[in-house]
Amino acid sequence: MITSTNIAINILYVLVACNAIFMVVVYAMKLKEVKTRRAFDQFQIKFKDYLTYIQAHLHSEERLRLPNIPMSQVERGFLQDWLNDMIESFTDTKQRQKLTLLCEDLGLIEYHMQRLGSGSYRAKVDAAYHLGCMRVGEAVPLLLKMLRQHKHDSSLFVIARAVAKCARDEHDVKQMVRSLLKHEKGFHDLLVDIIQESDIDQFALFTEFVQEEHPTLIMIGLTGLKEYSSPGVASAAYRLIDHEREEIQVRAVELYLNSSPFFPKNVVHKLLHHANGEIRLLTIQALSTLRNESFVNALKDSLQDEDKRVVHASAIALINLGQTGISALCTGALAYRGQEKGEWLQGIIEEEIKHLSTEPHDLDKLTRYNALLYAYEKTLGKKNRIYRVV
Amino acid sequence: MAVFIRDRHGELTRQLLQMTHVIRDRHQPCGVILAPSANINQQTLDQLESFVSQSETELAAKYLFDDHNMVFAMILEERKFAATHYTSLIVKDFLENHGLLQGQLVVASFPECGEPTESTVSQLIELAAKARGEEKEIRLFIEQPAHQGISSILIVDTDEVVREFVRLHLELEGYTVYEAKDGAEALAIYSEAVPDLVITELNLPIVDGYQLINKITKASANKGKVIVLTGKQLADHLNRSFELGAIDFVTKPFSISELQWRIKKLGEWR
Amino acid sequence: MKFIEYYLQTDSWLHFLRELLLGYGYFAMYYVVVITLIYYLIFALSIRQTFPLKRGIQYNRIKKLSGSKHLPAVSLLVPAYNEELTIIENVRSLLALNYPKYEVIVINDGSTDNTFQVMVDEFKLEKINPIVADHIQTEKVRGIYYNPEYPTLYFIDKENGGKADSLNAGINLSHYPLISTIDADSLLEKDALTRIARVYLENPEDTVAVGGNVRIVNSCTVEDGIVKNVRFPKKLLPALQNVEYIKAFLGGRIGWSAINGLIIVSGAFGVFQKDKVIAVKGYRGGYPGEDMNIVIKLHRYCLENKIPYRVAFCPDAVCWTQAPDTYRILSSQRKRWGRGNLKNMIEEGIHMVFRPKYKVFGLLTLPYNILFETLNPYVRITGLLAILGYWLLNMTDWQTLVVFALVNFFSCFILSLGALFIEEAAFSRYPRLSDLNKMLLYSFLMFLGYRQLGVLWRFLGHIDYLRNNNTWGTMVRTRFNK
Repeated sequence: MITSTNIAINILYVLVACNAIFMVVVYAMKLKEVKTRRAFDQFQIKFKDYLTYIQAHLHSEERLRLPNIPMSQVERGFLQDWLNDMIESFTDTKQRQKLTLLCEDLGLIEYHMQRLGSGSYRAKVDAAYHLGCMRVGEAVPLLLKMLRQHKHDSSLFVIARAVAKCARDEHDVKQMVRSLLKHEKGFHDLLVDIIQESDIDQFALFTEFVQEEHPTLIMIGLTGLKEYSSPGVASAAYRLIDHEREEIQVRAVELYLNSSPFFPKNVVHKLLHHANGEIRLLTIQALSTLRNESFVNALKDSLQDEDKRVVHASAIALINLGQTGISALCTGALAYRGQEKGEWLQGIIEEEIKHLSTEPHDLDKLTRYNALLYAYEKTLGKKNRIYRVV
Repeated sequence: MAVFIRDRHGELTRQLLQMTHVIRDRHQPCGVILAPSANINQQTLDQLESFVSQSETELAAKYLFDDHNMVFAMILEERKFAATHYTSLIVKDFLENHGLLQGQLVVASFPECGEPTESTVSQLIELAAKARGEEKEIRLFIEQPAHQGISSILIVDTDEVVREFVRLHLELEGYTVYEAKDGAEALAIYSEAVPDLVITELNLPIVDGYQLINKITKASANKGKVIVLTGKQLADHLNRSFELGAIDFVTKPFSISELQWRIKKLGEWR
Repeated sequence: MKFIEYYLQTDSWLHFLRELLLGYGYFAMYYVVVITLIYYLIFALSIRQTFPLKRGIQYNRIKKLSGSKHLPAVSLLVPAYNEELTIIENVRSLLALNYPKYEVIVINDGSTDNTFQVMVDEFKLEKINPIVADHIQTEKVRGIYYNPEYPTLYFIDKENGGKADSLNAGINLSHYPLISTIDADSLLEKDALTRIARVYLENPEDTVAVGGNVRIVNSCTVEDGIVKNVRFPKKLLPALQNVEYIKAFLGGRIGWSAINGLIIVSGAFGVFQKDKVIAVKGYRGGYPGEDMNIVIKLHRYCLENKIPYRVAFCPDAVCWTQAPDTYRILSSQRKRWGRGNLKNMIEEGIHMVFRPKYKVFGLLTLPYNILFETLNPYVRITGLLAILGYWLLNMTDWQTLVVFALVNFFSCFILSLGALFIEEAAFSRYPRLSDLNKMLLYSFLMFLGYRQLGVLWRFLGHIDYLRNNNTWGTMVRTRFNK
């Protein structure tokens, strides 16, 4: 017992020392934090006029000038953060360039370039972020190099975003995307968000990706193209409808339905018989917004769909189509009379009648209400009479 | 060159007019800085001149002090608005350090901020004299064309950077601008000041942007009083804003000149 | 005294007792050494993660990201049982999150108070008949309510079935592929979802669950659903819980998540992949501890089916919660936790522990949890008895006891310091220096009674389990401070 007590006493010394060290570190950090916060408050007062000067003259032809009062290193950091916020808040490239020029005059670009080239890892990531905010094109090669060797964690995307912001042309962005492809983790949505921060011709880039082999590139392309609607997009998306990957199929259909100016009957037929319920639902929803009577039969057939969501969407689409659609819906529902599905469909119709009856001032809705009520009573009506509103 | 003006009513106006006209006749811009101050003697005026010329080596300027109005004035040759504003930072620094500044500085540059007519100049001086006792800030002067339809605007955003920036630029355009940092504050200001236009973010605490649009649209006879300026990018947000009665939808990051243009068009259309 | 001692020493069974106690002493020592080493390992991992985490937080512009079109849509599930006092404020606050696409599904779990009427009146809800999936069997749903004026709000009214059952009902109605569970009495920070989504987006294929950080809101000022002034709790019990939470979340969970051994995603705020939750048949009803249960099942499911996965922790996504401030409520909460923990270990843990097939989870997380969390009370209590024995049998003196007590104290205290280090290095949510003083003070005070009570509560929870007591205990809601 003596020996173990001695060991314990020794351990105790070590522990007390460690505790003390830790405590000192924690306090030091807290004090630094408090000091920084105070310094920041002072910075805001001291440089208020200067910051207003920058804000007011972003449009003017003249180059923005350096602060008229000397700055400490900490204050320079605050100014950097403030400038980053400004650059990120506004889109005018001219204004951005002016702010970047100011950053250059402040020596910020040189400072961070140097850190990116030769600093510790921590300094490098910090520099990457700031160079990204300042859109420093010259940083791209170094950033790309860093990206290629980087492991898959949060900082990887910080660097990738920096590349996108700094990108001088499409080539830079493509290289960035390709070096991320080796971490195959399905982060295409994040990548699209990153790419959209770049000042390049994004449409061309996304169109190019859609034609690639790599599924992730295709996903990026399809997601990115969602914002553009042109016949070219529709045909590119159409080609991918039968892609072997299901997620690509869904996104391709979604894009196709969003961008195509018209839907050929055979395509609609194909999509409505697709094995994936999601795709059938998307198609019905697209037809619903189209309000084209020529699809009445297709919609009526979809009432037989096994996916309840599709049936529901078809019913609503038919109601929205007006007279023809409504009578198709009612006869469709009639076919299921007595079954659970028939009851359910009838429920949808009744609910819609109730809903429409509350809005007699809207002419379009009133017409639909009357048509629906008429068709309903003619086919399914058996309950108490509901009166027409004229 | 430092000039000392003593005790003569209207002398400062006369001097300013004369000097600005001389410079204008040379087709050069001319900056003006005015500040309510304590008594400045010739020696301090000279000190100020040498202080300013340390960092503004190529500046040709005249320094005046009017002890009738107790206003310090400075006229800068070949200085546009931005440059004049910058010089005013130096001047303010000096005046504050010497305990001389007693209110707001007024900064303008001709012809950028208007024509140097007699009325503009006396307006400027009056502004500076009135600015005594106000917070020690720098006020930018721009002669305003009369706005059509819209003269007061409320900007609602939680982000101070955005609020300040928009406010500054709209004020430079001559609008009266109110600020609110959340929906509840916005409603309070709205019911009190009844601005002609509201620019709002959708992301607001408790009373969010949608509710704000809804309430404002319901409260006002005249439709389309709200412009949405938001970080929300989805089409859903756009549709819902329009459904509730917003007149325009601008997403962040945004361009201030585009926003100004839209406001102007909106005013003309009204 | 001397006489009795002499008398006892002569007896032979006393010799046996001495041997036993000595043996136990060795066992206890190894136990403590192992537990401390595991603690240190996890803490070391947590601290190592601090700076990468901080970079992730610092260099992502969350405000900008929160408007992005590419964030995944999330269904928030908010089970509510007798929450009439706070429900409106909380739902309003949830409807105003900075997140592009989400829906709020409030589930009234057969409340006996006015929760239902308050909700329906406030939001002018009307009954609708939407399509509800039947992924998971639940208690009868009485109705689903909606108002197009609040297009992202759904309200489910159902028969009482417990929190897990409510969550399952919410899952059935939810429209989006990610679900998030939120306690009705806690307050989500506006950007918390965006922060979690960022972590998710960086690896959407593998991330089956992301947990948020839970902080204690007592004594903070809350205005319009936003925590305005972060203050250290003034009352004793919340203050102790505060340091306890910081230690558990920052010191523990960050480290566990680094090796993918996280056993719990707090029920107060977490995000899950819906299809995986459905694949493990949803939340297990009828027993507390469903938040740990679901995570264990997810681990098991993914490991058995060889699906690459991770359970992540996002310490910057903050959910503020009211800590119990009376002894009665706190003890009932802790007993419930003890009960739930035991149930989970018996039901799930036992099948996976020490099996290499279950990797880190089976070889480290579960052994740690069973040996050092679940069985902790027994070791503690026997340890106490043993010390009493040593003392009675004169096997030790008070100096030795003091030395060992101090070793124990300092080796534990350094963990609290480590947690505060992470807090200061990466988050620093408590602005004032005095807050740090208080945190240190209460970290110390934890050792004087609170930790011992914790052990006792857990033990009583186990007794409850054996007596098949299945109540929820008491929880009184109070409004947030204005």
